[in-house]
Amino acid sequence: MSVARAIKTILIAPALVLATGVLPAGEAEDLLRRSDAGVLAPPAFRARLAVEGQPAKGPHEIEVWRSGDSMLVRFLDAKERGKFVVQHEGEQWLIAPGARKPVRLKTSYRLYGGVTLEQIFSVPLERAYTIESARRESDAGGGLAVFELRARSPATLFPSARYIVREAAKRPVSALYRLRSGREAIAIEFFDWTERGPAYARRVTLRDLLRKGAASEVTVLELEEEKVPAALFDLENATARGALPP
Amino acid sequence: MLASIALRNLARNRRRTLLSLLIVGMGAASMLLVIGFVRQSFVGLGEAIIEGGVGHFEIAPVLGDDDDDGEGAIAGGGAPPSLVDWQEIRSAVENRPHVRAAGATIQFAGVVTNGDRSAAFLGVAVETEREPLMGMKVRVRRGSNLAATPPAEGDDRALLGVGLARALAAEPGDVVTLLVATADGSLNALDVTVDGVFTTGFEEMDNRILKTHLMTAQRALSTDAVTSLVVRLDDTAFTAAAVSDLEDVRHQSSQPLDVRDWKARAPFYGQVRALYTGIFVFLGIVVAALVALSSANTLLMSVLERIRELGTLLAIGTSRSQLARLLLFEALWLAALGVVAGSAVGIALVVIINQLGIEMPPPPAAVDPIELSLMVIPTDLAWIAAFMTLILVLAAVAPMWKVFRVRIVEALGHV
Repeated sequence: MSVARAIKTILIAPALVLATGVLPAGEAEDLLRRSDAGVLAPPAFRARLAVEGQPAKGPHEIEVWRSGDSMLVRFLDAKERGKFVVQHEGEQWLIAPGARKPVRLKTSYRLYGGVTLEQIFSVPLERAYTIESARRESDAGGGLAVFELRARSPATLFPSARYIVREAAKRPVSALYRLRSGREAIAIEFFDWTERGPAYARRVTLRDLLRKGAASEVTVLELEEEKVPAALFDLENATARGALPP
Repeated sequence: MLASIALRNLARNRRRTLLSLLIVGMGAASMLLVIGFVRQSFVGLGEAIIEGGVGHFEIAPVLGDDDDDGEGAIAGGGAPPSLVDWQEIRSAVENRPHVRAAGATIQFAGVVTNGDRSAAFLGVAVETEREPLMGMKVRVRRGSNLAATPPAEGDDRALLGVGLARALAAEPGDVVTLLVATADGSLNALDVTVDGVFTTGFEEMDNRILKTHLMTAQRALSTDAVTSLVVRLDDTAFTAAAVSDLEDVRHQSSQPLDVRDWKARAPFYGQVRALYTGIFVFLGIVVAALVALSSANTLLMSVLERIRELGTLLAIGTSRSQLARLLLFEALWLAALGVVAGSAVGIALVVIINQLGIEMPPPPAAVDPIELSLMVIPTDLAWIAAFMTLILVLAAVAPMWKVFRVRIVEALGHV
């Protein structure tokens, strides 16, 4: 080690020690609630997204209508016209022109490549997870809060997760979801958060760590806060979905 | 001259000769039956595999390193890549000698559900209108085969494997939904009416297989591509020549092509063949050992019984090598007569067994019982004759050795 490098280490190390540390419980809960991507999104909205990545290639455009826990995904590609995914009452359904009835999907269903509905518009974390530990770290962009989360329900697809938040902006930077075995499954990074209006990351990248790190990128082309008719989520009656503008 | 004396020697000791002929004949007949059974099993299994949909060979794009990620694949989830300009390739292949027809196929996978039950399936989509041309046979157990015309949109049809139908409690006429990943990686669902329930002959495959028309699979996968061309020849014997004759087709194609014959596509055949070959070799060794030991014993006994006679022949000037050749000729006569008699009996048994139509239990992993049928070709007889001759020559070594060691004085006084 050179003398200059040794001096640099001696000077930087105490600064790093000061910058890192355990986040008090109350402060951690408050920060997680205020930086939860699932809570930040408006309760009801319509959004148009572009999804790109392996093996989906693309980009593929989808339209998302969300109201509370219910979500409708409309596929906008010419080849996919007439196809919808409905998330309603804890279940997901595929509605396809070639099938007379909606087909129930697993909750791990992926829209394109490695993208799941939950990963695009995260489920409110405070509802699904508890804080196991929280600590402060820092990087070139400033202070970060690193949350280690544990799922409240054993049925949750990813029983543990790491959620990293930019402390000053109170916006998530990344999330890492793990399987029951502890193996890392999905890595998500949030970029370009809006500064006015509804809070959302304009660009989200997802890496499927179980499939050689296959990456997908979701770009939010537009998002409007608006009332979403409940009839859009009606599995029996397709009238409201059929009346959606092209 | 020696051959004639050897024959007369055998005729003189009729009982001993008959016993030796019986042993050699039984050995030859049993070998003929085993060879006939093994040959028929190989040919029958091979033709069943070919007619069942595998064809004589398949032309498909070479699977690249990236293809397991679905790059260029028809369906997501690691499905095989698509075959570009398959219609041009088909035209080129169908103009070759001995090619009966070629049919496009799509291999895909997904989940089939009837609302209450779901099961994973392996799909094979074919051009049903070309199947009669290709001489493909579908063993339908219930319902009917797929129609020979492409299905209209909204009227898609499928055949389910016996095990898959059981898992779904589906019967002909029921509507089930296919859930598959398209080339873009998104899901699609398509309703199909179950036309029939069929068997491939293999239980494991019947638990997963689903067969549709090519157009149905293309609709489900949102593609107009295919994964491979399956080619049927007019005779299996031309497979190797037909495969090697495709070099120019490979060169002219815009993508690297892989041509795999039916043996490579059905590894089960190789496993069965290896198993039967092992059994055959073991039986052959047992039969050879029995025949060799019995014949050696008989020939040695004939030498010991004739020791004074051999001593006399040596005393009057017959050389030891002449006596050894005499014994060798006796062994060769036994081999020749035994093989002729044994082959006659064996062929008669083959004819009788083939007429009886005896049913054998299904082989491992197979579904249907098989009819005991034997197939013998002339070269089999030649090989058995050569094998028995070799065994008898080896059996004659010990008696010939005895002749070289016998002392004339002791032989003349032998009681």
